Amino acid sequence: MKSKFGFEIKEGRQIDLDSVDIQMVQLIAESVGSWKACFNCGSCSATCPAGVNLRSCLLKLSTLGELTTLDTCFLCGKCFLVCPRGISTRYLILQIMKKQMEYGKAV
Amino acid sequence: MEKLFDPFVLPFTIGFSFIGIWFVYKIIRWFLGLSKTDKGLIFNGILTLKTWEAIVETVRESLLHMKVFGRNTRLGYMHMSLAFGWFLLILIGNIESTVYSGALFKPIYVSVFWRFFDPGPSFPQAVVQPGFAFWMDLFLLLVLSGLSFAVIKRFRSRIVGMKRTTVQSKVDRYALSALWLIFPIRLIAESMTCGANGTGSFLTGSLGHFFSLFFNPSSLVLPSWWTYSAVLGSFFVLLPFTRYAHIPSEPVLIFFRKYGVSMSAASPGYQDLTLHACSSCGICIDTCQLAEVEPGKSIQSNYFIRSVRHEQVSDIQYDCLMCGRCESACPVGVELMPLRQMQRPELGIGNKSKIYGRLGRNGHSKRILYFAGCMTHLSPSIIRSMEIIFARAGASWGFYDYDGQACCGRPLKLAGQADAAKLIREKLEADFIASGATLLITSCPICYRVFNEDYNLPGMRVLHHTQYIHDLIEWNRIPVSKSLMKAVYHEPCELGRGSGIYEEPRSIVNTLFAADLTPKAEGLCCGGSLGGPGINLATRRAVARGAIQQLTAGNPDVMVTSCPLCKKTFSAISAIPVIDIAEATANSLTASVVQPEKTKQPKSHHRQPVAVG
Repeated sequence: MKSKFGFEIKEGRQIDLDSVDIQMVQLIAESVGSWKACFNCGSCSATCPAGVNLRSCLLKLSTLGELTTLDTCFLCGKCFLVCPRGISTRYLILQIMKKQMEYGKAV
Repeated sequence: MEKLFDPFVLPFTIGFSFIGIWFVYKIIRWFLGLSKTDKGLIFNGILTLKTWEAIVETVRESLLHMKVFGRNTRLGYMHMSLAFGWFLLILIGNIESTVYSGALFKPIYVSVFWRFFDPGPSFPQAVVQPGFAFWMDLFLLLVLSGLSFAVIKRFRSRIVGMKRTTVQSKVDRYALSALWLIFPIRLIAESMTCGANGTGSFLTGSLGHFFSLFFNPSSLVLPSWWTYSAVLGSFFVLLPFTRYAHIPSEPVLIFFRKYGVSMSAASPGYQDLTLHACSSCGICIDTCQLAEVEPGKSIQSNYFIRSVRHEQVSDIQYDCLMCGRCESACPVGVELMPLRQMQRPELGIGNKSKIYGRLGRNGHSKRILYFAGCMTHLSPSIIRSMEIIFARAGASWGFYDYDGQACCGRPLKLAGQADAAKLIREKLEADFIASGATLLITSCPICYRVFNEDYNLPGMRVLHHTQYIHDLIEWNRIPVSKSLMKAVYHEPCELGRGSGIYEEPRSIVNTLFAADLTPKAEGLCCGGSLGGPGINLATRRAVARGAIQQLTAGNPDVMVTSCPLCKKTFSAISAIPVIDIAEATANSLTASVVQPEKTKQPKSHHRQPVAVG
């Protein structure tokens, strides 16, 4: 919908709050309080021996309410050791896995 | 002889019948809940020497409580006098009633309430000539003395050597009140009878005589026996629902364990038996480091068992560091760590082996296969030290996880994901055997434990690097020198309690350092454990601070450990340097330092090896 007046509205940039289900985020954040401290630095993804991109997974979860599959995670806890914010990442991952199992939302 | 019955025996008889039926029902349930192999183990073991060993252990642990004695004499005396004293009262009371009634088979209440039916010899004589009356009084005194310790423990637990005592559930509190009342009321009831008849030995006789100075005891004989019977009966009725279920269950556990039954998911009956056998004595609370840090949180093993038994596990199954201190202290010998692992739900997470599919592995056709472990890769100086040591020893070795991308599977197992851990195990087993090595050396106690316990590696010896270094020093393969520093050794849970390796690291520390200031106590948890995903960083730090405080009490110059995870956890907050035992060895290698020869690595297509050369 191009306008004559030099501006336009792009469909893709509209925020539709109804399309994001934040219930999952709330459920997980409730059980892992330390997640609030995350600033998405990516140390977890950088150190992961199993190639899990935890940063992207958590970003997707917090912004889109989307559960990424974490099948390859070994739960070795290296991400916890390197996390500058001291987030219990193993517990976070376990909770995500648990929610996936309970709600069958694995992508 | 007159009729051996009175209506007051009814409350006791009802309670006793109830518990008898419950116990038989439970034994059948426990046995049927075993897996087929476990049932076979029991059938094969029943007519062997194991039965005798189980009887001996039952006497030593269920009655005499030798393990509790080893911990604290007063606490041991408390447990022993209550259990063994009560047992002797029952045994001698039974013999006495059999001798005097002349009937071998008689209702159980006859021997329990024998003093009512037969008041015994007359008072002053019975004191000087020890007969049944004398012994019965002596054992009652033994029980009463233990009971006074139990009462003291409730209010001032330090006196019996315990920092804390168990916080009781409501139903436990009722049962405890009944138990505490049983013996004083028995004393009063027997004294009333003795006072009314002018009989009895030094305890019941004198108390009865004392009563008769003030009033006529015969009017109070029946009421006191009624009370005694009612208290006994209500204790028996409450018993199956309380911690006192351990009284009948513990011997069954000892027998099952002696025949070789162990905790597994295939035997839910054994698990249920274990839950009943816990006496909730509270020794596990004292050993738990989290009890110091989070006193309000009831996650210690006896509380855990209680909540599993009454099906109230919410998320507390993740709130334990799994250091195993409670397990090694448990006087009942409950397999607490497997029990906790089994309460962590299986989440059925995917195919772990696909991550290994794309990796080329190094280390073929060498004598030694080195497995650093993922935690060691976070502390690359340990790997460098191992390279120096291998070079000085002239070892032929290959590096399995040079790119840091292999996992032993134990972290998954600890989190309850046994299926996923099994996939990893199968992949690694095949790789290890295909490498043709005869010695597998790992730097990580977590890996070592799972390799040792779960892996099936025919023709391959698994060593932790402390054992390897110890052997090298013993055989003079590496020239080590003594440093002038004083060291303290921190024993990793997985290596010491978990795998039973205590001597080798201590011997290395003694060789390398001027003094070994390690405190003589059970090893502590560093707080970094993989066992407790639900525990946050602040709590972990507090546990680590407590451990450092205890370890550095002797002012050492350096803290030595043999686990990369303990090293990482401690070095974040320790005031003195924390080094791995391999680093200490590499530092002390005298003469010209030989540079480790660059091991040739195949190019990994997605990441450069971080920690080589």
